[in-house]
Amino acid sequence: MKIILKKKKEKSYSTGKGLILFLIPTVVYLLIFHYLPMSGLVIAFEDYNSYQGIFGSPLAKNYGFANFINFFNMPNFWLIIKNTLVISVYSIVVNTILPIILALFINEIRNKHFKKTVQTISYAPYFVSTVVCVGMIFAFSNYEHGIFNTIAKFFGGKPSNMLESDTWFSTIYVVSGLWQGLGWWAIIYVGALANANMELHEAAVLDGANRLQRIWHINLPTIIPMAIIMFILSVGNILSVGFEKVFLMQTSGNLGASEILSTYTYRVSLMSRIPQYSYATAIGLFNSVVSMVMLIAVNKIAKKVGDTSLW
Amino acid sequence: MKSINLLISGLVLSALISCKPTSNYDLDNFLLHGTEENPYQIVKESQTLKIFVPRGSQNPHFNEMKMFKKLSEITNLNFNFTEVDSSAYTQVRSATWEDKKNLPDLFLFNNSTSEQVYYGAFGALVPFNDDEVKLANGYKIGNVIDNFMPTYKGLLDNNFNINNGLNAKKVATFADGKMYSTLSVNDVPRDLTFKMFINQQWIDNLQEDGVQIKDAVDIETIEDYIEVLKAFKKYDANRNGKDDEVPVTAKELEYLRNYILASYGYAFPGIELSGDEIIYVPKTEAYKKYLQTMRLLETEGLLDISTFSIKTDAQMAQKGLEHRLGSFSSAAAYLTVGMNYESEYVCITPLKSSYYTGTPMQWGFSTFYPTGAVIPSGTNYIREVARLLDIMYSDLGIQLIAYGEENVDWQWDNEEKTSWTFNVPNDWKGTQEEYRATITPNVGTASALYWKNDFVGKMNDAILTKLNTMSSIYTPYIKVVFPEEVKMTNDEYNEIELINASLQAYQLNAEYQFIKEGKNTNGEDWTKYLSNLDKYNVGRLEEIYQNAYNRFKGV
Repeated sequence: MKIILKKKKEKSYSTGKGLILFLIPTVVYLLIFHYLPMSGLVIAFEDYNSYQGIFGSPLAKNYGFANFINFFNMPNFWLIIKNTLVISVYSIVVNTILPIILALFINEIRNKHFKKTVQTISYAPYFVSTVVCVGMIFAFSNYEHGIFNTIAKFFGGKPSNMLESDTWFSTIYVVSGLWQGLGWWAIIYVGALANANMELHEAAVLDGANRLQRIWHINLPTIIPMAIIMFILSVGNILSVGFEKVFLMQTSGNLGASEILSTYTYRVSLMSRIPQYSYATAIGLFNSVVSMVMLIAVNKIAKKVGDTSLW
Repeated sequence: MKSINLLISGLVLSALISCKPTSNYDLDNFLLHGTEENPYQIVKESQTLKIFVPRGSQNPHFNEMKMFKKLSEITNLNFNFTEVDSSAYTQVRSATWEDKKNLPDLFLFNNSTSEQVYYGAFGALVPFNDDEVKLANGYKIGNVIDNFMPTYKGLLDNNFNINNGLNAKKVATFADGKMYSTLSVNDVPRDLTFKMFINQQWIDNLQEDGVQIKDAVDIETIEDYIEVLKAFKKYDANRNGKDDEVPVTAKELEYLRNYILASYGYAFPGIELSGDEIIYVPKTEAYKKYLQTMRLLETEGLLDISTFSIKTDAQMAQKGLEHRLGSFSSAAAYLTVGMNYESEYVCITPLKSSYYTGTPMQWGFSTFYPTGAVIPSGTNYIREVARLLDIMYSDLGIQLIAYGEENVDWQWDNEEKTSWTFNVPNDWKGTQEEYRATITPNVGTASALYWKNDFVGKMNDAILTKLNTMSSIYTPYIKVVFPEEVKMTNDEYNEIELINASLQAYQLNAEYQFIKEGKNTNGEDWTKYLSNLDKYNVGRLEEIYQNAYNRFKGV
């Protein structure tokens, strides 16, 4: 018996060894392109200059922490953090809930052709580039001929320069993002719904449950674990609001709401006459540390409360 | 198999040879005075120079440009260009410095002063005026300007024949007494400042209708200007039967703010030198007056309602092409209103006001910038590069980078050489500037080393001639807000960048709130604004500039 067990173990190990070989390219890729470049983070603690290079540049003042101190002492530090969080939290909430609703809706469509048409139409905007999307936003919100103001005027409202306003900025950003990504994000949930237990549905029908009750008690619990995973991943990127779209949408009127971490970093690193690479890296590192802490915390909470987590 | 091995060995060998840049440099290949037949020839045997350049979206590749083909032909040099898109220029340039073994022989155009301060301190740049300059192989060549750049030396000694109070040598010289770059020189009036246009035809129309307003040429104060704008708004100035006139517009207030602000005694909404004192203008009473005027333009409906969300020239031109614009700033009127209405617009002079009655002023560029060409130390081809640059400062070089080769791309109209005509082929489908981009990198991001009015200003072109004449009204009033002669230390440059990264965003937003949202310039809002400016380290910013200026003045 012992011998048989040993043989089985050896066999599974040797089979596993072969599979482990498949991992090598990915591990090498991760090491070279994801872990090795992290050594460059050292410039956050330096007064980096490209002539002396990453490992030759002098240590920054205050034992290497001058860039971090400068960042925390920056007069608009809290404004930038607030703006970043507002846009991020707004996006996370809307982009987590609405794709679930859309997926539940698509799942209920019985006509296959109609279902596919709805899916295609809803995810097509995902392929529109950010620059084109922002161009459309500017055109639609044009004071004289924009569709938003035309509708507002039709209903007796007053036209306004929406992109010049702090008030509208985050909404325009989130809603346009939702228009682009709603269908795409819903695909994941539609896929998850395909795994819903049909026996449960049949039993529920026999028990007299109506469609809404089945959605609430069967479909929704099916996709909740996936939604939690997506939510945890989003929280992990809470300070990493995409740069291009916000930057392109910025006007001097909305800077009070649109100056976020990534646009500030761009301003100070790449738009500057002397790029402040060390300072920008320090901001990036701060961003990563906060994101990591958030990710771990939310993951732990999710595990405790809902028994679903990333690890 | 054998042939494959041979091929691989050959490739490896050639790669190894190409990795050894300095060992086979032939000192005798260089020609100091060219040859009898060709004084421009720089090397006996053809030699390749590596040149780092910025490239704009409308430029073809540099080695396809006629200018460099011609330079290559006459000098016997070949050019291997590293072309970097302007959007990624700073990053790629930094990365280039990381790889010190493969530095180019020349950084041509757009060499920032701050970078020169930094790399100069490491000895990474060739000082053009240093008597001890050596090639990478240790061979001493001495003073680059004195020994290899006679044309440039002559121009420097004569201050490029420009007498506007600016000293070319001082601009070119850094705090350590060295010249790390040649100068970018521009004395063409139309390119030294922005131009403010107003529609004279609309004024004529209204005067015909009995409205009492001044002609464009008589507008001298901000009050006169506002009266004309009000008339544009009140009446059907464009005579199309619709109430659609936009009295004044600007792309995110670009240049309009300089123009209006200047009527209150400052030319730039940032750091400005006034007498011997550095002032951050947005905290002054004059700036408050500017905000009040802009608020008036806003509330009276004179300022384009979309001004703050116009982000491109094309957006601004939309209303121009519809014949709706009364006044705007542009490089040339036809760029904003098209050729159909171009003739209706004329330039108006810098203004004064009841608050400021001194000499009018117009924000403008300096004629000299130390940004032309930089040679990294570590190359053996300093002499070759120096002679190439010297040609680029000669009449031939000036002409080549402006409009190409004489009698090929352009020709003199008369023996007195008072004007010349640019030859755009009849079958050319694009614009004149697009054609010029096939000749020179001057169209787009790269500025000419010497953009000389004595040549450029003689071009026989109706629109440009008119533009030259109109622009000349600004020449006596141009104010460079901070002298280019003043250089700072690396730490100072860094600190300025950090302060500005936060301050500029705050200041722009505050300006918007005063103009569009009607924050009170006489009450608590203004006090809070001033206190915020302090928090954004305006005081320190002024101090840095003042210290640098005092050092320069020897205080």
